[in-house]
Amino acid sequence: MRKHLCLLLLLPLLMGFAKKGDKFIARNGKVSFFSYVSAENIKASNNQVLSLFEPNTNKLAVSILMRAFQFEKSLMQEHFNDSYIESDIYPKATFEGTVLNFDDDFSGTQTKIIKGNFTLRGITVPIKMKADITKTYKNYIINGETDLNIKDFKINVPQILANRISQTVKVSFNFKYDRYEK
Amino acid sequence: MRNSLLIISLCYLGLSSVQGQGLLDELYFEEKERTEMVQSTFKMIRIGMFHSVETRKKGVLELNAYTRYWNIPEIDGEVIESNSFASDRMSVRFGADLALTNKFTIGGGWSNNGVLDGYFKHRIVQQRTGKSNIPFSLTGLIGGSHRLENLDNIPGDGDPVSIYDSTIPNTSINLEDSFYDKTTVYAQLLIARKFNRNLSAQISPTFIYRGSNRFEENPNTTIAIGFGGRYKVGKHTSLFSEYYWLPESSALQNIETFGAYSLGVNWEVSSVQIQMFLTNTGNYAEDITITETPVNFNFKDGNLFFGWNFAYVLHLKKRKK
Repeated sequence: MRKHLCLLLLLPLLMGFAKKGDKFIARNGKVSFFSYVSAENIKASNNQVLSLFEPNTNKLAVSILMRAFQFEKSLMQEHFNDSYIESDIYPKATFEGTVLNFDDDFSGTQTKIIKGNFTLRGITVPIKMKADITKTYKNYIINGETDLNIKDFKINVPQILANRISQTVKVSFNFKYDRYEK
Repeated sequence: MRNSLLIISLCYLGLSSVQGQGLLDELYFEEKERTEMVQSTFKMIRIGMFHSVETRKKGVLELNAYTRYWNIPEIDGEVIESNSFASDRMSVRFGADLALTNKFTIGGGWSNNGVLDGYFKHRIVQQRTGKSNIPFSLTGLIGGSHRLENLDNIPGDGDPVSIYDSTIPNTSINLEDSFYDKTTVYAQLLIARKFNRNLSAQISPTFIYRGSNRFEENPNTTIAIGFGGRYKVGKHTSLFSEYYWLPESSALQNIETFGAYSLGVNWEVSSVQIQMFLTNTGNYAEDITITETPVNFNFKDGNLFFGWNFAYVLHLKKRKK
């Protein structure tokens, strides 16, 4: 009787292990943003973005380190970290969401909506974005883009620059996932 | 048997708690500890009048114009009439600074006080946090100045009162007119720490050597210590102050001198950086400012100088992404 109980207890444990293997991780995900400015464009990219994807629950999490964004102009990068994003107080931006109507049995590219919460500078905003999800033999690739409004995150642009800087920032991302093993 | 049951139950509990976490929490374990360079200890290559530990990043050219405005003091109770607008006198320095690497910057300038100056600046240690932690920044600087005026053209033979009566405030009286005689070199060690996101402080031991001296009693070598700091008051604004202290034996003996002092505001946005400050000197070259400031800092005419530094940053080489 006790032996059976043991086995019964072991069963979900083993199932748990099996489930764990179903997570996929992107360690060098790429996130870049682009803002159109009348004088010059602001663009930066970060290719050290972390992301976890769980195909059987359709859940997705992203963690972006703000200091890892690289700008073409060094002074712009300093201003970004020091005056706008304040990366010493808010070192990371995060996203947690779900891929809607994701079909894991379909191999190939499918365009789906990802819905979730994006947190930047401690402010969480619900966002929806279109993304292409490609399932290959052993991994997943997700890429897409979305527009963010800088007002939502209380990023103050000085009056003198306000009409030269666009209020929306185009954010694009590209994650290549491999099986997650701890 | 009972033990194994216990172990399995514990495993089960442990696992279920892991499963209970969100994906985002799981990502935290994946984050590697990084070493971050502490940036923006000061916003500009100068705290105000004197150098800060900061250098420019590779491929950056900074063009700058520094100006000072002041009024002529009363001499023996007699007010000297002046028809100038806003201030009686002004001086200006035009300069350029070029970063050859992320750690090495060179610069130079000309001022209408009749002085050329230049420097080499190397960032030896940068403050870091995270995995490897370095609590301070260290920068080495070597510079010099060369006075263009010949002895015949210098009024008043270095009389401190007449200095600010002229548009050529120059106490640097050399022995002869050779290049060596009119040149001064200096070396500085700049040690700074950013204590938190708002407060940074710097100590700068300085060694100055003069080529020659008209007055025998004046020392040719000078040791001074500079103190500087900044406090960030807004996203784009910070307050700064700096002071250079000289031991009595290092100071000029023929006239009374005071430590150079400044108090001001630093403002920057986009490619433009501006500093506005009050000070007690109208000179620019570090060695002259540190050793030959003949007035103390106060609000009297002749003592109070309004300084306005303007810098424009150009990126000659854009970094590849």
